[in-house]
This record gives sequence, C-alpha cells and structure tokens, in this order.
Amino acid sequence: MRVNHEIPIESGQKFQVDRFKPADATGIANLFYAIYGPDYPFDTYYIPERIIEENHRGNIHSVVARTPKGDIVAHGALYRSSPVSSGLFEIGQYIVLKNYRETFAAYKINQYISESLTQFIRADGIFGEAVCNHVTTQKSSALIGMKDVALEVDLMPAGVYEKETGKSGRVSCLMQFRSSNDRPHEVFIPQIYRESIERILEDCSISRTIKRCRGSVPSDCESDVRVKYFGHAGVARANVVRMGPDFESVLNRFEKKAVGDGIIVFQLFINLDAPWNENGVELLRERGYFLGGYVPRWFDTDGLLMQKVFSQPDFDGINLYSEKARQIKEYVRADWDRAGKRAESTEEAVNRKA
Amino acid sequence: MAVTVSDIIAIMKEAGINPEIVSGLKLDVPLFRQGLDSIDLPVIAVATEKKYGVDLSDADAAKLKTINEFVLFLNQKLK
Repeated sequence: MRVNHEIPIESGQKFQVDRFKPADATGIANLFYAIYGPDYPFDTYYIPERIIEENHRGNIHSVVARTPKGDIVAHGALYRSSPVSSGLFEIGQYIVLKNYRETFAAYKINQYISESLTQFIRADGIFGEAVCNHVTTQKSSALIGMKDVALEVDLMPAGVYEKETGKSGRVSCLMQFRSSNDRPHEVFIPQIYRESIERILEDCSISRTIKRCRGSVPSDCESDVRVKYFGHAGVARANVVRMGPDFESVLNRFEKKAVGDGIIVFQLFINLDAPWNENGVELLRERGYFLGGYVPRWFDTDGLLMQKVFSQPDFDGINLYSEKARQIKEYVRADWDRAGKRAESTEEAVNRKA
Repeated sequence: MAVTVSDIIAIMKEAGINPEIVSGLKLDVPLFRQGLDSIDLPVIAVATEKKYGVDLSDADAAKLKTINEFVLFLNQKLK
C-alpha cells in the first residue's frame, strides 16, 4: 500500500546505522514522503512491500539510521541501475530527515556502505553521480576512496535544484567509481581519447591492458544497443554492448525516437571490449557527441561514455572538488569544442532517415 | 595519558583531511574558518571515537569549534 502522508518523527533520538530489515520498509517510505512529498519519480520508495521485495531480490541494498523505537531518520543504498553488469552498483538514495541533519547520520551510512556493505554483497565495484552545483557529495565520495572517472554534462533537470541554490539551468554530475573486486582485462581505446583515458585510469587501482582500436566491424556482427529513456529528466541512455555494421541505422532510430519524446541529453555507454569501435566513435563525433569519460566495469568490461546536448554547456559553472575532476572537465570541454559544437538541431535529428 | 594537539593533528591526517589544510591549522581559530567543512567534522569525530574509545555524540562534536576545544573536551572525557 502506497504511503501518502507524513508521520512526524520525534527529534533528538539516538540511532544505530544498520542494514535493512523488513520492519524498516514503512519507515523508509515515510522518510521519502517526508522529504519529497508525493513527487519522487520512483514509486517503489513509497510502497513498503516493494521496498522489501527489491531488497530481497538484491536490486536495492538499503542502509538505515534506526532509532530504538524503530523510526527511520536516514537512508542510503547500493542499487542496480543503468549499468549492464549486475556486479556494479550505484551508491546513492541518501536522504536525512530535516530534524536530523545536524547529526552524522549521512556520514555514518556512507561509512557503513563503504566498509561493510560492499564486501557483504560482493559487489565488483560501486559508482556514484555527484551533482556539480556544490561539491559536498563529491567530497563525501572521495573520502570513501571513490575516484573521478567521467563528467555527465547537464544531466539533471534545472527545476530540481533551483529551490536549493537559486540558480537556474541544468546541473552536471561527476561520475566516481571504486573497485571492490577487479577483473583485469584488455580494453580497446580510440586513439583520440588515449591520453584522457590513461589519465583517468591512473589512480583507479584497476589492472587494464590498453590496446589500440584496429580492424573493421565483422560483417556478421549485429549491434546490441539497449536504451533507457528518463523522460521526466529529458535524458536518454543507450548501452552499446556491441557495435555492428548496422550501428548507424540503430543510432538513427534511437535519436529520432528520443528527440520525438523531448529528450535533450543523450548518453552512449560504449563497450571497450571490441577492437573495431573506432569508426563508430568517429561517427558519433561527427554527430556532435563528445567525451564524457571512462566507466569501469559498466559491462563487466569497461566502457566509454559519450554524450550530446543541444545547447552550449556552462562549463565554468560546473563546481568540482578535485584537481583530477577539473582535468577531466578540460578533456570534456576540449572534445566539446572539437566535436560537440557540431550537434545538429533537434529538427535535423528528427528528420534523419531511420 | 593526556591527549595533545599533535594527537588531534595526526588523527586528522590519518582520517584523510586535506594535509595542506591540516598542517596550517591555528589552534584557537574555528575550524570552519580554516578550510574545513561539514564533511570533515564527522570524519574527525568518528576517527577520534575509534582511537580513544570515547562516546562523542553528534551534538557534542558539533559544539567543538577549534582544535584546543577538541583537546580540552577529550581530556575531560578521558579522566
């Protein structure tokens, strides 16, 4: 049954940070309602039975701050999201009741996830998407050993943060990653991105053999592209598991549908396990896609993020905590200058033959 | 054994606080005016709890503004 009203929680209670228990489900739903009202875009978090089911299935691993009375005053989680690999979990869903924000609940949940939960569930790795309208989340992630790997330009819709910051405009996100159980393997890198990728990999503590792309696409290889649309955010994500000779027509169909649905931010995650991707990457750059960064273990093998936006990004307005993140931003900006500016108008994308 | 300023500085460095900031800290100036922020406070508090086995509540930790106040508080707790 969907929670549809807030139940006040007494202030000043002591709490314990712990893994999810089924009895916590109603408290988690109450917490989401208290913070977001009825407007959180994922219904699961309002329905206790679904919270229990998703935790039981291992799609979400909730961590809570629980009082002796059983009230839930804060929440964080590891959960399966956009990656193809089921071993790569996203860290997030952090929320804290307003009357508990002076406490260290969020920090303690962050530590618990980092020190205990990742081992318990045997994650291969964790990643996060920290907003860039402030640096608090980036810094919290850095403290638990997460490394900067990609910059997602204009990912979040403007309205979400306007109330908090008073600033309008979409918000970019810094992707950060930490390996738990690495899988050493070869990756095939388009030459144009070699320098930036080598820089990104420097401190990630993962073992990769970098090889140069070579060869043509095999004629008997069919593209495997898996698309998710986040209409409420204006974002489309495509996981390019395999680029075949039909990739251009697959791309045309993806873009035409996305633009027709009002999508304004396109992200392609490209599997780097095949040596023949260079032509496909160049095609994307001709279409206005530019570098986002490197996404370890996205496919169980690693991926390359490319992205396209239809308006000029405000790179100077992107707030970044670390020197490495600022370096990534410069790589992204330089590629936007070279390739991103070519992004066609939405009308051209709609009219392109699928 | 009494807790000293050097002990607190060492805890901060081990906990991952920016070493450039830590090495320049003044003892009687509020930490939030010397480059530390709301993320750093729980890091320091939890690391201190672990090292000395004291119960440092979130509310207590939030009142400790300077290094000298940290040292004084801990030594009172450890008596």
